[in-house]
Amino acid sequence: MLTKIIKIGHLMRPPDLYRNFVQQVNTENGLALFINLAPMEYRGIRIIETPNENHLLLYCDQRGQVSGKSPTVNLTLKNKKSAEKLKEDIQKALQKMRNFFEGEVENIGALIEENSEKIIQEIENILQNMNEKSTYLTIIIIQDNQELRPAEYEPFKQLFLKKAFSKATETSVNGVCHFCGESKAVSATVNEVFTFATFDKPGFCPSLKKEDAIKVLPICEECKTNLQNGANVLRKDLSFNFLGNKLWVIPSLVVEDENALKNVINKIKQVSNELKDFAKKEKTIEQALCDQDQVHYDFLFMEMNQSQQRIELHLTEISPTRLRQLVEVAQEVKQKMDMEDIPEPTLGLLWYLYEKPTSRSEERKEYLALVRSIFQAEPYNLQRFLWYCMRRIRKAAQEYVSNDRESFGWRKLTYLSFASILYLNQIGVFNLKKGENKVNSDELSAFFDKYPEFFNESWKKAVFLTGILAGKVLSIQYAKRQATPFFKKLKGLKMNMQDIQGLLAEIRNKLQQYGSYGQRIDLLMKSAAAYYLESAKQKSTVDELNFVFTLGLAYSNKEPFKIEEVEENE
Amino acid sequence: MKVLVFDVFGKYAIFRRSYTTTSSTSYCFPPRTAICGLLGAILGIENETTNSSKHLRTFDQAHIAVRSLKPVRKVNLSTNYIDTRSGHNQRTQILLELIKSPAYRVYISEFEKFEQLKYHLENKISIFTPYLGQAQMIADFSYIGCFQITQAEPPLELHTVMKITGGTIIEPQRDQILIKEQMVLNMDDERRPTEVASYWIEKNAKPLKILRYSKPIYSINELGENICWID
Repeated sequence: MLTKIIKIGHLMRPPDLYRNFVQQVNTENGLALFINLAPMEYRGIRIIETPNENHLLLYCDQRGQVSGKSPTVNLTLKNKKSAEKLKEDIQKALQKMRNFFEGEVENIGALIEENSEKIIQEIENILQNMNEKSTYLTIIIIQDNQELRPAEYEPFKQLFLKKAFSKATETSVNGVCHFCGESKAVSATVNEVFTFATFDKPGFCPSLKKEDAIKVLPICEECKTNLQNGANVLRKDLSFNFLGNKLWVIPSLVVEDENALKNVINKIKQVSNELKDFAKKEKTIEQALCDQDQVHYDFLFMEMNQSQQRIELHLTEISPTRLRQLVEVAQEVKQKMDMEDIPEPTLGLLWYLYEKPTSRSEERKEYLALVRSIFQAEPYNLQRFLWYCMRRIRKAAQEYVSNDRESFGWRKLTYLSFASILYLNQIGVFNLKKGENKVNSDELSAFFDKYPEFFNESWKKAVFLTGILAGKVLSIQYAKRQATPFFKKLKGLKMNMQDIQGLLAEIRNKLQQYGSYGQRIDLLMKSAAAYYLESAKQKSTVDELNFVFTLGLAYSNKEPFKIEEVEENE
Repeated sequence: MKVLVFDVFGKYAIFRRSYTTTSSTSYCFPPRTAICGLLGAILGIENETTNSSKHLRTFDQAHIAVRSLKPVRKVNLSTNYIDTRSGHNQRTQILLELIKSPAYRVYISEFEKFEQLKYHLENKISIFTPYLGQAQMIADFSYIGCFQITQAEPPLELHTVMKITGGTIIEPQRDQILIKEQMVLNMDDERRPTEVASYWIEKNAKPLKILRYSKPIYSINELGENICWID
């Protein structure tokens, strides 16, 4: 993966060396200290608009213990309400800025120190009126009446480069670069670019020793420069939001072709700028990514917390063919379901079915395992998936019962789950095989034949029809009494096969009591009984059983199971 | 030339990519250094210290090839590590990417301890516990045999992991997923890398159709397999 990023960095290298190490400032406005050079004096502080040529600020991320790398530093405003804490934050930021000049452009550092009280006071005053959550503090040099931003002042630029290479220069030894394989001066500085490669945290890895970093991950200066630039391109142009975290898309080509790769990077950049959220715009993004045939993608799902980076999931070599298949199958399933308010199955929808799991929860891991299966065509346990679906549906059904009102949350969830199962099966994540239909009933057969891979066993058809009949009872109860006491018979949707079979008699009684037992109901009842008789002893889980039943409940008011009032009263 | 062939398998494996420390991701197959470590465990070769990799010198004359016998399936698993060395008993939960049900076939050409290794493999003797990447992922192995190999010319189907060299032409097959891995090939006695290499591996353990390859490819007629060295 890092080799691919180095390749991207090499391909997209900027005209000036220093720009490899400059990162993007994401706020619209910042604060600038104005320093006049001759005579050397502090001229005050002002709010400035972030320049379009962002690199002129010579900004690089210095969160955590990093300091003195850049003349532009972050200013957090989260402690704005407490004057004392705010002052402390400003002091820290100013110290980081001074560290940049330490021992080099010393008089500027000294000037900042001399005026520090005044600067802090002025910053405090300005920040009180700023609405942003965070901003930055930079320095502008006045030379011959010209205002120069950090990169426009040569000594700052040189100093910035010197600092960028300082650790590599100070600690380099002769060795073999892990990435280009060449023998040259190498250093252990990958962690300056990606903190998931840190050697500062012993205990994260067996036998991890800081002093061994140079042996484990040596990198030469050229690869480090390209890696840094590649990382910047990745963060800025090849990155999407994904359910609270980040998704980095790393393209690579099987056959080397720099122009083609450049085109792909530009294409992703365009898509990423337009559609920032992968989960919300998944199909559009996938459609754009599958345009080029010779390219493959690495998807890196990252959890970012301050300066910490954690790889949640790394998927390698995702082919455009697979992405195309995901888009097409999702459309096919939507068409097949033929319900306007049911969206195409997406990662966002599945996340919703998994109850929006946040980082580090057990559900998140299971969800990401499903994401892996989707992109890499690997199997995933259907029962586990149904467990999550049923958990969601049961909760919605519980609300429906406790509120005693017409709430169709559970119904929609059931359709969504069903659509997801059809989708996941068609893309090879589940392995449901088509079954035969042995009971003759034209209308029912037509419905079951529409989803042969799901209704592949007789017991499923029987339980589904029982669900349909139970749904009829609930609708009639609601129409006549504005209540659905029959729902309580469904045992919180945790029934076993005996419970479900036992419902048939109760359903018949209820429908007869309400005077709604007509020919169509009779046909459903007989078909259900026939399917029960035909079904062999099965070993389905409670979740699967209840999902099929709930699907029947949900479909009870849909064609072909919708029954006209006239018929019902026959 | 003769080769020893044996299968090694287990429940899980992790061959950590060296650039992932806070969350570990795994290569799809064991690097040469890991295979040498495994052979060292079977033969009972000891290192003076944990910082030493002198055991690798035993295998300097050996050529090694490796084949994935099963599709590479990875799972993420949270693991609690305890730092036992510092004595602080600090626990760190990290996310490990593990290979599930790994199974590889390893081929070793003749070298100094060839006969001894053959004896150990035939009789399923391992001096130290063999494992796949980390000590908790204990491995089992089964001896396949000792075979004569003959050089073969492309086009042919290659069953092992392929070292990437200039001028290689592969004919892509339907449903094949090629994964490129770059890893350390050899180390000096102090565990400093001396050589790195890149490889292609087919994710679903299907053979690669090779049209041109600049390094030698060998056939094992008894097994109907074509192999190439990873070194």
